[in-house]
Amino acid sequence: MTTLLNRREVSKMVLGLAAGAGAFGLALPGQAAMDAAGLLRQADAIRNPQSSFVVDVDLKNYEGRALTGQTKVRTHSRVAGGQFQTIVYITDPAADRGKILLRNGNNLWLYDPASRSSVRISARQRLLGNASNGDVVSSNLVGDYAPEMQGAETIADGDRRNRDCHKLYLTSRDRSTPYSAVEFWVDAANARPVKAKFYTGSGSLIKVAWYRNYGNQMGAQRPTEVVIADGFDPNKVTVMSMSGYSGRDLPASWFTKEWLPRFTL
Amino acid sequence: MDPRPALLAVTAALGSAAPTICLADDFDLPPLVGGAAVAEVPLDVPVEGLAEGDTDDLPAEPAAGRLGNTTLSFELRGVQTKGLDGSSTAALRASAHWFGRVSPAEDVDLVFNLRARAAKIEGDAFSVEDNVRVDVQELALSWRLSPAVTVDLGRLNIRNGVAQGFNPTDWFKADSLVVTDSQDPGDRRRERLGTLVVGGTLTWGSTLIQAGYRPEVDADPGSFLSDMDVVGLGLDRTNPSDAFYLKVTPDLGGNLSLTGNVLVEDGRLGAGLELSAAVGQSLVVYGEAFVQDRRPIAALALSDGAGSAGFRDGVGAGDGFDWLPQVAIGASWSLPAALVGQQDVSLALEYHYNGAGLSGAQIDTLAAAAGADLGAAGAIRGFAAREQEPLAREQVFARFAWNDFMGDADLAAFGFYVPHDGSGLAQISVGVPLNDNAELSLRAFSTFGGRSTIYGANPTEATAQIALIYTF
Repeated sequence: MTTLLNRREVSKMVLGLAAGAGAFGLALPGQAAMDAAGLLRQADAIRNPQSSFVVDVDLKNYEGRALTGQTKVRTHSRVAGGQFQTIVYITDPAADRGKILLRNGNNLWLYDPASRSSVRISARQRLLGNASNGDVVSSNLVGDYAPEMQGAETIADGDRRNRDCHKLYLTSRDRSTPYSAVEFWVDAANARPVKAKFYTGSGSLIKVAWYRNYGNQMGAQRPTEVVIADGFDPNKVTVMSMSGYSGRDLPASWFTKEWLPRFTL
Repeated sequence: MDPRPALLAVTAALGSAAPTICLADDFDLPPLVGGAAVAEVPLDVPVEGLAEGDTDDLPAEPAAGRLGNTTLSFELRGVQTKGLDGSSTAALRASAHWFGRVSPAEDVDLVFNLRARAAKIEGDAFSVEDNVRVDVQELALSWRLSPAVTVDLGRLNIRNGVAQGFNPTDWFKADSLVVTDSQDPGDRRRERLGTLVVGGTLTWGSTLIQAGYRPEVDADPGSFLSDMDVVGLGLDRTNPSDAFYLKVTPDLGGNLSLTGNVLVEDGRLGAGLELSAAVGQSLVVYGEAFVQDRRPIAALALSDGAGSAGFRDGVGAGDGFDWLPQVAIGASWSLPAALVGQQDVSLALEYHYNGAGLSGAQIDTLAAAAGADLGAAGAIRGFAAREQEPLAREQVFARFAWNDFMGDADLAAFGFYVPHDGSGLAQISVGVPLNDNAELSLRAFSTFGGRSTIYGANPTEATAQIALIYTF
């Protein structure tokens, strides 16, 4: 297996050699002035409003081409210290209705309305098919990962069309982040997120995400779909569809496990 | 020239024509999947045409059906039980369970958790009086007086604790169970009566303060408030004495979660805390402790003077009030991707200490009970079971969970083990979703150890159960 380090080193070598000659023949508008952190911050601001908001998320799980399950949630995200606190309220399927996932920093809790009790879970535990907890809760990458520019590439976007992109390589700043490293492509024309590859600490590719179906949500063009492929089993795919973004003041006290029995939509 | 754009175009064209999933091993292309989500987007439609559509709208109410955000489920369960005496009994149980939180008025929520159940037990004649129950597990009103203050009145399941197998800080669990089909502490949290309280919540900055009062309910046997046939509320069980409680949960941010609590029960003080932290992506460590001015289990169980003098002395039945600690510490570990890929497999291991439970020597006395002392020994075992406290002073607990181990089916297994006498209990369960609403549940548990040990003396030695659960 190719390790992440090898992959990264090879990538650097290739890009380093090609950059001086105008790699892939792409124009890179503003690249000189664009630092990696600034670009990632722009992409974060496109992925998520940078103020507290509510959004409905529909997760469809596929195996092969077949739909194997569907979950609908409403997420409440509150900005705190450059990152988000998030409450994910499950509305469908019926058996899971009312269950809540809370993320506050590295605190993750799953609340069961039938017992009015919460269980602390790890970031690795999955609740929603191939999407991890980290996929469903809102997050800014720029605070959790150290980005570096890795030049430019033309890649297939979520609609299978070629798109000129800046490529960023994100390295986890500490052990609490969901992934050790992320390859992240943003549209060279407008800093929109296009694609991301997520890696574990051992260098294994754990999932690949495509950001697509951009639409006007809370005053900006944002991806309303994320297609997530399982890095271990490419037949397993989750499609996250976001709709109905709206700004809302959310009290800090909601984002503790003791509040969860009181939470209502 | 970079050959990739041309290669992508060719691969994309193939992908559009192929009926099967198309995903390059190196994930150059997004997958094509069934349904409308991805496959319906034709390759020749300009992305910009799709992308610029204004989809800004307000969130619609979640489509949760006519039940709103409440949950109604029906369950049909067959139970085969093997008793310690070798007898075998079959039972069929049916139940309906409806719970949720609705808002009848602005700033007012109604919390309810209602269960109706009927059982037909092999060899017993069915009668409504004896075999049908309606449990009002919760029924309470909650008023939001201001964004920072909420007041609650009614029967509520007030749940504390972070451990999985035993919760020392979960003060109101005693004598609360309405169903005992499962030995899983997680199931038992769902299957208990709430406590009649008046209480409230105050938000102070990002700190949450909860306080309340549990009044004593002294009801006559056979009355509506106690154990009347079919509809008795059982408030005498959940409200046996006056109690005041206080919980404080500061927002420590980051990684730590802490809740401190104080309970004053019949004028006697108890205090505790629960703490948890994540270590990396896969490990959660946690602990909770509670110390209370109280009497040990044996003293409470034999307060009527049952048992011979030697037996009573041997189990500590004469012990008075003392500060007795209870502790549960443990960790849960999600196996890393390097071992299990994307599978969701987790292990939990806990150590339980109950200062009110039996020491090793006291366990030996209990095990050696004979003749007239057998009744007293049974009273101690029964009392601990009703209180939902470990009878042994020390035990360990382990749980294994593998979600989606086969399709969407979940597998879970757990066990308790008492090191002093080598006894324990193990349960395994499998949940197989049949569709979004129906689930087939299989469950079995068995005790192990000698017949006079802590777990081996359980009157039910083993059960096997199959259930069909339908949720609307």
